[in-house]
Amino acid sequence: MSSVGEIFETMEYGPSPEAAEVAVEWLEEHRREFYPFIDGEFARFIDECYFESIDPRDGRTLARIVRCGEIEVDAAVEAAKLAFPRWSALTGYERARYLRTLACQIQKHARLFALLETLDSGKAIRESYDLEMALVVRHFYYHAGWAHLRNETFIGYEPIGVCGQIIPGNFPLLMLAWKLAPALAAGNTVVIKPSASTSLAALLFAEVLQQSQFPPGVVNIVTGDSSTGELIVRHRDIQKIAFTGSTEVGRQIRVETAGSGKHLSLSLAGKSPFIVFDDADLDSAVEGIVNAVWSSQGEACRAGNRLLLQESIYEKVLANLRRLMEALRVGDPLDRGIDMGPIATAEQLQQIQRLVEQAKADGATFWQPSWVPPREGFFCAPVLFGDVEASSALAQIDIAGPVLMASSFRDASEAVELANNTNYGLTASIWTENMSTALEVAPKLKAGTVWINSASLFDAASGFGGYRESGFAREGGNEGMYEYLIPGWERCLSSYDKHEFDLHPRPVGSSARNLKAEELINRAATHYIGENRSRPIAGTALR
Amino acid sequence: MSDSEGRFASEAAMGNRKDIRNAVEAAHKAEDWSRTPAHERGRTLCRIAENLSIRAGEFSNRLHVLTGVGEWESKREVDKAIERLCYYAAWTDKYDGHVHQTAYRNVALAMPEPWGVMGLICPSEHPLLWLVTLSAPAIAVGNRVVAIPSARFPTPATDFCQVLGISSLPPGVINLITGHSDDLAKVLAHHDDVAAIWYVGSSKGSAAVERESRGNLKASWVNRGKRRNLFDDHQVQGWEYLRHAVQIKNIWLPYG
Repeated sequence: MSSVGEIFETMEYGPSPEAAEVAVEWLEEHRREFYPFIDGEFARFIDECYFESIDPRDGRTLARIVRCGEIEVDAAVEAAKLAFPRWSALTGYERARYLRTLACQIQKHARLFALLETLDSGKAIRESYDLEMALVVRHFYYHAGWAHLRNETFIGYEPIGVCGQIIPGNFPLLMLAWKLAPALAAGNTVVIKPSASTSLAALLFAEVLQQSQFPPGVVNIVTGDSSTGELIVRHRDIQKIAFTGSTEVGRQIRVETAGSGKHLSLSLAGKSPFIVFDDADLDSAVEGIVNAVWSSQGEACRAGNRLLLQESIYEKVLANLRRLMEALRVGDPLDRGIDMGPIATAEQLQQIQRLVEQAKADGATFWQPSWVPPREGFFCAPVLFGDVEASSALAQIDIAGPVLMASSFRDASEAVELANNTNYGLTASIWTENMSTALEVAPKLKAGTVWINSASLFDAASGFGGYRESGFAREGGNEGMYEYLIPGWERCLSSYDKHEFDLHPRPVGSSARNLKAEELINRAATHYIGENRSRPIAGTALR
Repeated sequence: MSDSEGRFASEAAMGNRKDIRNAVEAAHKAEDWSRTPAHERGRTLCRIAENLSIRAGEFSNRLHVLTGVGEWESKREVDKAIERLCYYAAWTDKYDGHVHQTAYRNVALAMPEPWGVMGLICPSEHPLLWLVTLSAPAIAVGNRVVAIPSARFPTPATDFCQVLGISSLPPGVINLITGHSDDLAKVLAHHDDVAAIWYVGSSKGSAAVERESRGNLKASWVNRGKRRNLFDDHQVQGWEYLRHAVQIKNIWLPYG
């Protein structure tokens, strides 16, 4: 231990670990073994299969959790189905009270939630407690309001039924809140599956549901990996699937649910641009970059990991960034002085390392701080790539790690072009002190959220979601409520399938009397394309 | 095309993949429409309604002869089409997003932005009214569309395009490809430069559209084979249609 005098000299951080005993006690209370939460209780089934939840700090097992198979998922859906009539028939005020109680209970257990999340996902405690818990509580409060106001705001709309929700591991409890709160406020019942790498916060949430005397069956939590997710997606009695995760899996779900009658909302990957103009407040911008990119170890899909800098400030900003990166602290996420914890899983770490190696081989300028992260555990030092080609894999693939790539642009129009040059469209951040520049660029960006002189701001009142291959759906705001509501009369419609209407043209009967010349309808058989009536390319005409 | 009794009535073009490609290109070129002020878009919709009403008798007579519905019903279809165009003309400068009340000192604007290029597939019945029902909300908020009209009776739709031609709707905002609607729907759903697709028809067609939309994960709104009452305003016009015609962009600005 250095003396006070020495500390003043070096200005080094001392350790300030958060005590994790409460979380460890909670795990021990459950004998480090967890079961799915179905119909209001932790349910046991025969032939249970387990998977392990790993502490990414040291790779040790935190708990054994049941990998839910067909029996468990069926039971959960059945419970949700049975709970639906009563839950959806409650008055808005009653549902609102349940959601508000939930918000209070979560707030009460905020520290335990944050500790568990940090143990489970490796996310720095500063972030899981200070940032995430506040957002979670706010989300339930906000949607309690929608529950109360549903009937007068969404006139003629009704809940969909049983919703299947699948969430990722980057923000375990926040993603759960984003999914559950609007679904419940609208009057749906839910079967939700947390990510296999971070299930513990969801299981504590199940206990909180019990404490809040939430009606059994309204929320069912099934644990497991992608195989469990598949069972949910395919289940016949689920009317709505909401998924947050990779674009690849989102695409599979799109195909799997096609024609099943299930409603679908997808919140998928991003490759978000962070645009800094030469008239920006550079100090704030650089700080914004550090917060946006290296919080959550860069695992957040909304991280602004494509840095676009105006030519004249390119070197200056990178120099500042390198200085701040040098000062970033990677280590035990329970330490309050730590900026970045470990990556959640070993596979993810390998994937990041592979992409980094590939980018190096592709010729991007590689820079990393001089220090080395702890060897034990899945730690990854932040990486900065310069001079990245817009078409390279690095600029196109969502890396989900603490990797930032920088490139330069000349003017606003080139910035827009570069920013939009991916298949994604989740978020974007613009930094300039010139309001005209900001408001010229914002509408041109393909992104569901655009932050001006700010980054990574979230709120329950503002619907978050993507453009293009970042998915279709908004979570939060009135726009997010529509994801869980359908017009009431829709259930009573007749069908085109049974109807005699022919969807294909009929051949002309040769014996039929032709219409008189003045009754003939159209003269030339053409399409209408642009300003032209254009002859069909194949040259054939329907008769 | 034959009329309801199978008698020859007219010829209609048989669209294929390449026609769709050209139509999508034309729609992309018309992107100025998305930046046209709402007031101007509304005026244009009104002009279309006026020009249609001038030819209302002719349209209703053709619908009567062609689709075999009674004269009263064919007149009702044209009148409703005119009314619906005016209805969305009214909405253009009133569908205006939100300023959300977040937990911070910020202005969080929720701006409804048009998708860009949309694909619209109409069912066989009521060829004029379905085309108007789907395309009016889509263009009212600034989209450009590639529409597949009724496969069975495409000519009222092609006639309607002549009305568009004299209403100063910029070229490329509404493009029409006639032919086998379910086949063309699949091609449109598969097209990566189409950002959103609406399909009204069979449940089989709905499934195909959802499946084919996986490429660019375009937002697809399909009727799952269900038949809405085209004359019931609750079911076929209003907020629901406008909402599906836009995506929300949230813009956060520092504030006070």
